[in-house]
This record gives sequence, C-alpha cells and structure tokens, in this order.
Amino acid sequence: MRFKLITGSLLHRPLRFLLVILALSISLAFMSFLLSFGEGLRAYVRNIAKDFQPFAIIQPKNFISLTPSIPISLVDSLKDLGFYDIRPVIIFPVVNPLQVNKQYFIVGLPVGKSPIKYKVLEGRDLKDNNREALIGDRLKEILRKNLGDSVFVGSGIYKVVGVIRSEDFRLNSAIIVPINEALEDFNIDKVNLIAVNINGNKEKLKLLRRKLNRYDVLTAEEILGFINTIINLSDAVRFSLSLVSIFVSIIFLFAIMMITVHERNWEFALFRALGMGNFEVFRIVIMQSLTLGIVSWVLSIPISLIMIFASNELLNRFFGMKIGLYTPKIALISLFIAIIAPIIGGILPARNAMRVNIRESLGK
Amino acid sequence: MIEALEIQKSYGLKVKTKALDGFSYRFEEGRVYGVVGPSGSGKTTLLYVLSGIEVPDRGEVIFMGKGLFSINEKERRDIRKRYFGFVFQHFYLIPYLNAAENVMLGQYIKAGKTDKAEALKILESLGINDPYKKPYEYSGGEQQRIAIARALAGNPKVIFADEPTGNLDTENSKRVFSVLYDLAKDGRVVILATHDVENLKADVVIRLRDGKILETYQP
Repeated sequence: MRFKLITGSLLHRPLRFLLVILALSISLAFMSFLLSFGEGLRAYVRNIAKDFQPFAIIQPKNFISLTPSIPISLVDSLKDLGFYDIRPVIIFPVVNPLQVNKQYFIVGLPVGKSPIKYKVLEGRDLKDNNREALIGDRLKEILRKNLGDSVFVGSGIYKVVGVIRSEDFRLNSAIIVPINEALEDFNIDKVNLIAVNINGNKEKLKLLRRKLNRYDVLTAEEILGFINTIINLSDAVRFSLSLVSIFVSIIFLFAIMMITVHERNWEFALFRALGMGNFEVFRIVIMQSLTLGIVSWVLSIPISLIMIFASNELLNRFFGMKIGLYTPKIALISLFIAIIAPIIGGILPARNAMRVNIRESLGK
Repeated sequence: MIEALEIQKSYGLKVKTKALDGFSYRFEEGRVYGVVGPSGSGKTTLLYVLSGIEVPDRGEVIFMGKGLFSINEKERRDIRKRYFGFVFQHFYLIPYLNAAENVMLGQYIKAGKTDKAEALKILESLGINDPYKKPYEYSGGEQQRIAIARALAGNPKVIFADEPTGNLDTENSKRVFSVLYDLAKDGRVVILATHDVENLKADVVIRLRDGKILETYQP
C-alpha cells in the first residue's frame, strides 16, 4: 500500500512527473558527461604511460616542447654513461592555420625501437634508412593517401609502406619516418625527447638526474601522477559546473514537491486523521522525491551515453581521439547525487506535509 | 463509552469566538447521535475535539476510562487509529486508488497491513459491487458509502461523520443515514454532525447553539 501511495500520486499527474524526471535526468547526464572526460583522460594517459614503463624520459625543463630542443649528441653522452637502450623521438605539429582539422604531426622514431607503441593496420612496419614512411589512419583519410603513395617530410620524399593506429592520438594524425632521416631532411640536430631504458633501476635514474640537471628526467609514474593532478583539478572544475545544474534541479524539485504537497494537503490531513504517524507521512513524501531521483538516474544513463558518444565522434573527427568514458565510478557518483538531491529538495515539503492542520484541510 | 466534560474551545487571537462553551455529554454505545444546529454552532469542532484531533482550551474527553487530553499526542493518535473512524462531507477518497484500495488504505493506516477480502466484504455490505473503479467513476452516494467503508476498516468503536450528506441528494442522503444508523447495531457509537435534520436517522438528536446544548431529544 505504501508503494501505491508513493507511485500512485506521482503517476496521477504524469506530465509534471515527466517534466521533473526530464529536468533531473538531464542534469545528472550533464554531470556524468563532464566527469566522463576526466575518466577518459586518465585512462588515456595510463595507456600511454604504460608504453613508457621501463623508460626514463628526458625532456626540456618547460615540459611541453613543440619544437625539438634536446641535442642529439646527448645520445652519445648517455652511451658514455653506460646506457645502451636509448630512443630519441622527434614529434612536432605541422599547423595549417586555414584548416585546423587538417593539422598533423611529423614524427621521427628509432626504427624497430619506438618507445611509443603503435599497431600496423595495413602494409608493414618501417625498415632502416630506406626513405619509407608510416601514416596514421586518421591522416590517411584526410590526405587521401594509400600504400605506395609519396609524402613530403621536410626536404625529403618518402613512400608510404604502412598505416598505423596508436593510443597516442598524435601518431594517428602523423607521418612517421626513421629519426635519422628526419634529422637529415629537416637539417636539425635536436630532438623533442629521449627515452632511456632504465628497467626500474633507481640508481640509474639518480645518475641520469645528476648528470642531466639541465633537463627534466621523469619516469612514467611521475608523468602519470603529474597529469593526474591536472586532471583531478579539471575534474573539480567540471564537477563544480555540474553542481550548478544539480542545484537548479534541486530548486525545481523543491518547488514541484511544495506545490504537490500543497495540493495534497487534504490527503495528508486524512492520513493523519486516520492515525498515520508524522514520520510515516514524512517518509511518504521523501520516498516520492527519492523515486523521482532514482527514475531520473536510470534515465540519465542512456542520455549521458548518447552525449558521450556524440562528443567522442566529434573529437575523433577533429583530433582522432575518443576521450569520454562512462565508468561504474561515474554511475555511482550520479546515483549518489540522485539520492541526495531529492532528499534535500524533499525535506521541507515533507516537513510541511507532516504539519498539515487536519481541521483546516478537512474541515470544509 | 465516550464522554465530554465541560469542553471549552475558542478560536481567534484578538477576538475570541467560543466554538464550544462548557459542553458536557455522555455518548453511549449502540446509539446514533445526530448533532444539529446552525453554522458556527460548534458541531464540527465538537467532532474534532471528541476524536482528539483538536485540543480544547478546557475540559476533558473520557474514552474507555482514559482522558484523551491527559495523554500525549502519540497515545491520542494511537487511540484514534485503533478505535475511531471518520466520514467527511467531501468524501476525501484518494483519487489514484480504486474503491477497494481506498478501503485497504484505512486498513493499512489502522493495522499496518491490508486484507483485500475483508475490504471487498465491507464494500459489498454497503452495496458497492464493482470495487475496482476509481472514485470519480462512482456517484456521490456511492462515493460516500466507499468513504464509510474506509471508516469501517479496522472495526472502530466510534464513527465520527461530519456533514456526511452535505453533498448528496435526498435519496442518497437517506441511504447514507440509514447505513450509518445500521453501524451502531454492532455496538458502535456513531456521532454525526449535520444540517440535514429532515433526513436524519438517529437515536438522539443534540441541538447546539453557540457551543452549548440547546436541547436533546429522541426523534
């Protein structure tokens, strides 16, 4: 009977019920949508960092370097220090200001020893020093290049021998050539970063840091931790933004529940006249509010999945990456909000319901 | 069974209006009492005070040997739940529950559980043979009989009816009064406040004016 009292009165006014649920579920979906970016970014960075696991990364102090600035001669110095697995990388964007979605990267990798993992989708991998290039699958679509076609990199012409896909979105929009040839074609003697295999040896890491104090020497864990901090901060900003929409929903829910309780004054007065306890009346109103929250939460799941799917498609089109990721953690956070928000919005109406004056409400 | 002792009840903050002015009376079981009088004579107030919903300014109501206003609100509510049933002028049937469920609501509040077979039996005894329709699908007379059925849930000892025929035509009024009259045969007290003296069927009529008993008589 309690269930009937809770659901019956909600379904008695279906349009109002639907509007409240729609408002609340859109707010919850919006929050999940924003949070999904934090989750997706974390997973993305985790995957990339996994590739760099045994390496220490040497990079300029300013952390993000768009132009190569580490002298390639450092490779020889590292060899002198006793490191044998040294993998320099060139990676810089080629910007076309008129066609932002057609930006791409030039990547120079040590053949057969790339510290950034990728998968060959078509054709084959690079072989040493023979003017061959790989192309990211996204860039292949944009430039309409096929296996065997020629591409220009600096002053050199390369033949596309493979199409690749990587967790690092930059590689999907890149032309990848052997690093030695890239250095030659661009006539440079600097790289963006150098990965040195230290196999988790802390002494080797200390040695690198001592000898290379002009550079940052970071492990995969440190990069992950640093980026996670940034993501957490951006999570807080996004969560605050979504709280605004949740707050508006709570006010909306509160107003609707107040109106509903006001309209149903006689009903609560009747319950109390028949002997129903104040707490039971309070509970019925709170349960109604909670029902709205739970139904909204269920509805918010497909809405957020649609929003995430659409934004991922958009991101994929422009940047070749999909970031939004709906995880159980997001579902739990939104469920928590879906429980707390109706309780906050329902408390005052419920209190009013249990204080209804029986005589005034039923008298005439 | 239920006795009012020197009940005094006033309304208003600056200008006090006496709704009941030293009302005393003893209501015996197995009888139907019709409380009549003009508007503002204190009929409704009397019902609300006798049932413990309204607290009087002075006086006491004794029910089964217990002073209703000497106990706390929760105990008073428990007595209301266990022993009292209510019928109102506007029926107050829950619109989203069908007739049977409205009666079961009374059972739920009073006993914490429902008995559908019992609810159907009560409805049938009051002439409601199709108990699965929503309240608005019944005539006014039928709706009031459903409300009486709800009041009977939990087998109360006292039934309070406030203008039970106020929204009914003559024929339905007579039927409702007759139903209420029959309820007293099972040893209950039925106290009804009404303007409808013409159709009233009661063992004792109490005429009120200005919160005082003007006269009592057996019609």
